[in-house]
Amino acid sequence: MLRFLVRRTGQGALVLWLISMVVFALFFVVPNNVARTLAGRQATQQTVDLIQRRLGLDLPLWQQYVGFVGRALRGDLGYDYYHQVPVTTIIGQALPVTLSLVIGAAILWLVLGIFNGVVSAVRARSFLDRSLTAFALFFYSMPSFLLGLLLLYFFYFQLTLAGIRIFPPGGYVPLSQGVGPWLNHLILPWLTLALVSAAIYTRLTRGSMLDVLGEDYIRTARSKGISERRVITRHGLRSALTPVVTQFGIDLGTLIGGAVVTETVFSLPGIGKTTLDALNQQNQPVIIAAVLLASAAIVVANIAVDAIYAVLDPRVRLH
Amino acid sequence: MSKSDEPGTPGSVTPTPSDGPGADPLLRVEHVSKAFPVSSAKLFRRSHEFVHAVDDVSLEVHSGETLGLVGETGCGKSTLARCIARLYDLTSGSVTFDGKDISTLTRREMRPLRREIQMIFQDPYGSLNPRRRVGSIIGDPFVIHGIDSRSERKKLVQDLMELVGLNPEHYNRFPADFSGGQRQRIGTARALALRPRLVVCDEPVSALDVSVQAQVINLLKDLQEEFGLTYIFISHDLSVIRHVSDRIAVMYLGRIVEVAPTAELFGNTRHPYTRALLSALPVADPDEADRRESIVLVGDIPSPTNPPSGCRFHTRCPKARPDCAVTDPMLEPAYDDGSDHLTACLHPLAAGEDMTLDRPQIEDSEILAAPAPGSELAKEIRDEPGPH
Amino acid sequence: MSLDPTSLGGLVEAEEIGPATPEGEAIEGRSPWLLGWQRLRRDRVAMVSLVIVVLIILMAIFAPLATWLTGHPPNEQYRQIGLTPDGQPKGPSSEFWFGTDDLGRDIFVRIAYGARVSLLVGVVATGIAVAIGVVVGLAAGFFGGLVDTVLARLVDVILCVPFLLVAIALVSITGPSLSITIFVIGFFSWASVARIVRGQVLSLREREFVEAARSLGASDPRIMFVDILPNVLAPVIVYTTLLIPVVIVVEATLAFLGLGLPPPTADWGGMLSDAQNFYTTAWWYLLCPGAALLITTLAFNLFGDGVRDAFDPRSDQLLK
Repeated sequence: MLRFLVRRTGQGALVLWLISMVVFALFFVVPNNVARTLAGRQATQQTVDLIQRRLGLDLPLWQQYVGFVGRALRGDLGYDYYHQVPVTTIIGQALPVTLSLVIGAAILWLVLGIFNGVVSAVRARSFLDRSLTAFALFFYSMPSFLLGLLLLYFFYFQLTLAGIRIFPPGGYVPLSQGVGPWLNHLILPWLTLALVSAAIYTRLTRGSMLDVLGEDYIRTARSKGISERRVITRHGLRSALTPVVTQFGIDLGTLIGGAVVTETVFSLPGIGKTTLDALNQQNQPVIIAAVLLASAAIVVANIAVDAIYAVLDPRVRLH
Repeated sequence: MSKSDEPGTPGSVTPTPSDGPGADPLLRVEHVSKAFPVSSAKLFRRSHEFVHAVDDVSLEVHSGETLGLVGETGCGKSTLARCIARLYDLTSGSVTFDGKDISTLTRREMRPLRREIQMIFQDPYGSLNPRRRVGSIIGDPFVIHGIDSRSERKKLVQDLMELVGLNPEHYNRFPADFSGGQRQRIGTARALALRPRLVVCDEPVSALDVSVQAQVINLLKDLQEEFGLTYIFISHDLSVIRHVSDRIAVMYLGRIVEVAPTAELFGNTRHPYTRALLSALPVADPDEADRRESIVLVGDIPSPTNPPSGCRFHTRCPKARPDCAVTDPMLEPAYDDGSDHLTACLHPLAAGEDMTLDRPQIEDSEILAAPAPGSELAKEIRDEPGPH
Repeated sequence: MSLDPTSLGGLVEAEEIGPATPEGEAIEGRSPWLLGWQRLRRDRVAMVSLVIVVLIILMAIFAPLATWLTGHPPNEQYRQIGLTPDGQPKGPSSEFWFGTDDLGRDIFVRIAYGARVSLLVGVVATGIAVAIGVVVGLAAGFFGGLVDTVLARLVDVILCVPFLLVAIALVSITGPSLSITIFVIGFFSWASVARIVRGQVLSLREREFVEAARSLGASDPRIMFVDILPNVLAPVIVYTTLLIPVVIVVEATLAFLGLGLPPPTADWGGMLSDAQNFYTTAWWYLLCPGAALLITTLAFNLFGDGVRDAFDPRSDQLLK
């Protein structure tokens, strides 16, 4: 097991390294005029050159990359071009926002998705199943930004018009300023993220559950006289949930960088939105750090999922 | 070269006379071994464990005869078959076909020989591509080996279908539309398309209902007569093997333990394993069934990664003696047998010897480790279905 | 980018067991494709969604018809008749069927033209992704060894990349354009196709009919294309049908974030992005393109589900 983890971590590190190279190359292949933008339109060429040199932008590309890696390994991810704020600070401020969003939504969609999926599978072909499946399909087809906008429209706008001011139009309130406001600002974003994913998980759980319920050992359990509820929860759910857990791990990892849309719609200053803003400003250090963080999250999630799979299914370990 | 001269087209076939014992065998297998590495999850080390599926096997097959190859599941017969047909590379040893050494030929070099050596597979459901039409499946050999015209191919395929007892009008159907027995006929037609000289049949009837088995076996025999084919017929079912084979080779754990003409094998059994196999054959007459000895082999076949020392059968052999755990017996005539009856045993059975009276005389015998014959546990084991 | 992983059941195993047909039945065998198509035809929901999909395609093709019907080109700004006196979008009327946007353009016509973008990107990007993915998956699965190791690692790396962030980065560097959008989406999608195809090929490779083909002397390319590919095709087609709506959504998302086609091209995602600032006063600006997008993806998804059920009978077994 340990060997397995070591091997996978090594592979993950390799992947991250490759990504860092590609991203670096990407940004610096295109001539950027950060220096000029910083200097202002009126500045002389001298000033621009000076700024270039200070930012290290006049060095050959590979030298910049090596310098970057060296510093990064020591924990220094560089400084934001425009305000000289350490990138680690910027990311550090954005991360809790994204985490609040993602983790909260994750709990929501996991519970919703699994519950609906199980109910659907157990009462397959019933009216309940069909409606749940229809709901799942509906939200599955909905782009998340559209859902966010619609939620804003109905729950913020219309409600506010009607005099019921519950939900704000966006923005983030840190937990330190009170649970109420923090929750308040997060409910609609949570719903946006969660409803779409819940739909996916409903389908996934339903399919997996149906497969498992058709297995012979379930029939055996039933014929032994075990109550249906126990059959489902103790025997069926355990195997049915394996693909769900796998998917969950990967989704969680992917969302660190992937919640851009929800963050944009609700003006939450998370990793995604910060990156988007940085992109518009050509603020490379921030972008690179964000991409690396997001990739790292995915890589770690993959490893964690594989490890859990190896624990759950001994056949994988021996391979 | 006109078409009618090519082997493999109907009309050019003349039955090849069987060669007598003096003539060169069609196929010669010499000290063939095949080992598969067992993959282990080590980081950079190559695995050191191997499954010795086939270990130092030597055989001869004469033109026109049927050699039966029999043994329990896992004894390596299928692997041997694939080595002969060169679907696998040999770990060591040589296979000589019609005087030509084919052991190390590349796939390209093997290609023309594929017309001469063909296989019929065990699984009627897996050996045919479910998404291709039957006509296309049977016609595959023609396409691969260059008979181009589509109408020509169609005619050939339909002739083949008729030959194996299928309705040629079902040319465009899919395998799913056929029963198991019919699918084996399709597989047979495909194998015979190019009029091969050697056909390796890997348990062709094992997956079929008993009533259908007889039909397919009879078909194979008829075809052999008509086209002078040579068969290597593999099965775990001795009664089937007895019916079709001229000679029989018995395999155990990757080794040949006894080879003899059919009558000789049944009448003058030398190897204890063969005797045990034979005693498991159902006998029609109930009185005779009661009277005859019934030898129940104890335990399971040992793991091929770690075969027993000396004679591989010694752990389950009722006649095991101390030297059996030390010396690996050679395959040679026992007592006064002729050169066509070879046995690999240090203490072969004498004529008329009753093996039920034997008790093994070595320590690591599974028989001794097994519960005593009269005990309740032994009865339970005996009454359990499956090999003992 | 990947789909709901239960999209693919035992498609490859599907057509194996079948009863013997009695003599005298039709001479032509019923191919698995034909059987699947017949099953699909009987699925009413799938057929209805197919009709909707076709209608949307027609709408995209005949978008100029919308201009002809209303008299408004998609990019024409009608500041006088299209906006309220204080410059706000006007609601649905007999003149502007779906109302106008903030620049006085006809939303109905723009929706029709927006369909072109969505469908074009949807189909082309999916096509590219599937083409590359199938080739790579086939090669990796079939040849194994070094080829497989390299390709599989490549696929792993691509799947570890945070798609949206990097896509945003790419597009923002090169500037938004149709081809870049298609390229980016195609580039990130082929990896999941390849992974699935590779898995299928790996299991197919061990099947006896492949061994049989080898024993006949068939060459590797022949085995790949004649024996393996037809068996891989079914899951691939299902995956493709379900991939298209995903691609459409991704394209809309990119456009929403400002990285779609440059204005003034009509694009559903772009329209929704602009609508963000106006939905308080112009609900039609949000709901009409939104509905168009939703209906399109819904229809494709429903149809895709139908295709999967039709070509994978296993999912129905339990429910009888």
